[in-house]
Amino acid sequence: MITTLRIFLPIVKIASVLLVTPFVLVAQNAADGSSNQPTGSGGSYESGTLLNLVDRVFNVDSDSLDPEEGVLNWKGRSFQLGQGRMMRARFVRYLNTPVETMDSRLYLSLLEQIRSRLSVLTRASESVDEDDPWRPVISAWKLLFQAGDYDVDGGNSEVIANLVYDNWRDREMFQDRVFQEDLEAAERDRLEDSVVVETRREEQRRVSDSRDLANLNEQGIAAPSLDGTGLTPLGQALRRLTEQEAQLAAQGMKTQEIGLKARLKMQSQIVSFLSQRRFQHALILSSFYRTLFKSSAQDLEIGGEQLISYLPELEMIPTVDSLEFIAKQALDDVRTGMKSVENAYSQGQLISALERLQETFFLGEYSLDVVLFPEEQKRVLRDLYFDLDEARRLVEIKDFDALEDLVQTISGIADDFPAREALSSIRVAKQASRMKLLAARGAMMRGEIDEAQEAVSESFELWPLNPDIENFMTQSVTGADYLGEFDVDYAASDFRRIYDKREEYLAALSGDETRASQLREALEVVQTVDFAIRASDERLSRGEPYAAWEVLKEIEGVAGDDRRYHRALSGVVPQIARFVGNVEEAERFEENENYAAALTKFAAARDLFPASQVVSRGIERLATQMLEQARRIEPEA
Amino acid sequence: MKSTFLYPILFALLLIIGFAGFQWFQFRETSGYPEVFPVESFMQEPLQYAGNRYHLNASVENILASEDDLGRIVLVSSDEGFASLPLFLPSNLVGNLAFQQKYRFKLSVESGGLLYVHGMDKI
Repeated sequence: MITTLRIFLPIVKIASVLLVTPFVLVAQNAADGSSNQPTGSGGSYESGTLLNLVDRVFNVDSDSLDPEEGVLNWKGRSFQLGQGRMMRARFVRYLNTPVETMDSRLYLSLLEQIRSRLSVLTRASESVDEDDPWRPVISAWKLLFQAGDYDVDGGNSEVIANLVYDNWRDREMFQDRVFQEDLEAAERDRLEDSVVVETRREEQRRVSDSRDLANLNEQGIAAPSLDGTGLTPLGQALRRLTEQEAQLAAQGMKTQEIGLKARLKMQSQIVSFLSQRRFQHALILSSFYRTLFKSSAQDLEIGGEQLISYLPELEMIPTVDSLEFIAKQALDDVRTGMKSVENAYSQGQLISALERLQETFFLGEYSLDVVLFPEEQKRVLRDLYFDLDEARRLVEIKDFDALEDLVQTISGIADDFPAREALSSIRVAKQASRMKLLAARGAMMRGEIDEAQEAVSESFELWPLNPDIENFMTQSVTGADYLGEFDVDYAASDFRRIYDKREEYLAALSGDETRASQLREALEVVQTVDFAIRASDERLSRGEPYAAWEVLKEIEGVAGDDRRYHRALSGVVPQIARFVGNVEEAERFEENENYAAALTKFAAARDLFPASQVVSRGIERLATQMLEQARRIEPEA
Repeated sequence: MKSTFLYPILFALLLIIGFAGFQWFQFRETSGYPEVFPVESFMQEPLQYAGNRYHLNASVENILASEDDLGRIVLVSSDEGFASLPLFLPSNLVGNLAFQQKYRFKLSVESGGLLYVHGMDKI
């Protein structure tokens, strides 16, 4: 029982390492999964090299992005983008979003018109209408409401419009009757436009509803209410118009105080637009600001410290002009970035294109250059992005077979993907795992269980899905079954069977010195027998059956019941039956201590094959035995 | 008349005397070992002949083993041609051995089938 336990313990120890290690490593990988650090390699060269390469190849996050902190670093300025996972989700959503080209181009055209009209006031070459210098500004302001209707605007144009309106309302110039009438007329026009639009929609809705109502009446169902407030959209628009007019009339006269607040609000909003990377809106609002305030009011003196906190890397004294400059520079960079993307894409360098697109996206997410990127190209880059993401996950779990297939797929899409380097690294890691396993086998053969465990563990760390590890483990676990078989075979001296199953026995008997010694003995016997059989066959092929028999006879005691030996012997004996018969009889007589008769038979055999060493030794041996026999005899006188 | 019967009687007497002399000579040569050694039967069942005495005419082939105070194991070839036989010649046995020389060996079959030579004569 104790012996059995001693046999099983090493196997159980190996099995426990193999079963427990995966969970440990998976846990390590899971813990490290969110970082870009090499995982689970234990600092080994092969694994580290692969992961470093893969990290470089499959990581599309550029230096300007910090996915962990969710920060975009651009020209010394930081933009908070949200958490890393959110960043990825936003980029994937962007890649999946269809491009509404027409709407986007109309919207872009509107923003350009707004900026163009505002720039009239600052361009010396343009003639300004002396009677109504604010007309282009007001027309630009009116366009803001149209821009605000587009989804891509996100309501930011209306925010600008409201800020500008608040500022006008609180200023002295607002007392100018012409300007005031202009402004109120513009506001009224806007609201009336809204009413006209809603009226058209209402008419269309009524036509549709009348069809639906007819259908409902036919079905005997009562007509539904129009909406939750009981008003039609047209009624809601009319009510908003009334409210706006009443609000305009009811404004207070604290001009000075309200004017300062409006200025601060505008400055804050410009910074807010910048921090949100709404560079177009930051430019438009800056332009409005410049038209509304004199040059002395360009410094951000009021609340400057708070504004600086939005841009911690901004070392200069912030002015509206400097904010405008930053916005322009960002838009230029976005434009250049997208050109770089399209250039890389057209040359088939999709990895580079994807990197540049991601960088540019996080800087100019709301820029139309980014929004208008062709949908088909986005789809290709999206597939590549998912492939790279999957490749990273495969590296983390070290599924090298699947990774090899994926690398081939990616290299078929992207010309700039270093497929050879990646495949080479995978092969190195696989080879390293196999070498460790070989070392484990060697250690087990030597009975060094601790070393074997360590080598298997290292092999597993390098390549957990290495199929040889599974085979190794299976052999180790089932090795216990082989112990009983070996004992039976050895007791029966069935060395040939032991030889045939030597690989299983080698693994199963490691660590068991006694059985290992018996195994070696059995293997040596079979090797000796096989050598003699080959030598005998050689002599037989030369027509020397007596010599062939001699070779086999010499190892008779070693061969025992070996089936191959006896098969070879039976091939020789018929050719020299008389000789073999004499020898066998001699041996039988000798066994019964009939030495004279035995010697007589040997002598007869020697007449047939005088060169026989077996017979010569037999005669010599028997003569000595006969002398001994004679010594014990006292013959009659 | 006398001469007519005398010569045949003398011839018969001489024959009788000659036969008796031959028999005597024969008896003197194999005295105590009258039977011829049954080589073939001995090869089949050596122990059945233990305790018996025989004589064997054979020529010397080889000396297989020798011990000064004990004797020699000599391989001889039987005249009957069945096989070579090993004989034990004790050291006190009178006479020298010559290879290929024919001898008449007087021997006994001892336990274990040992062929013990008690005397030998050249033939």
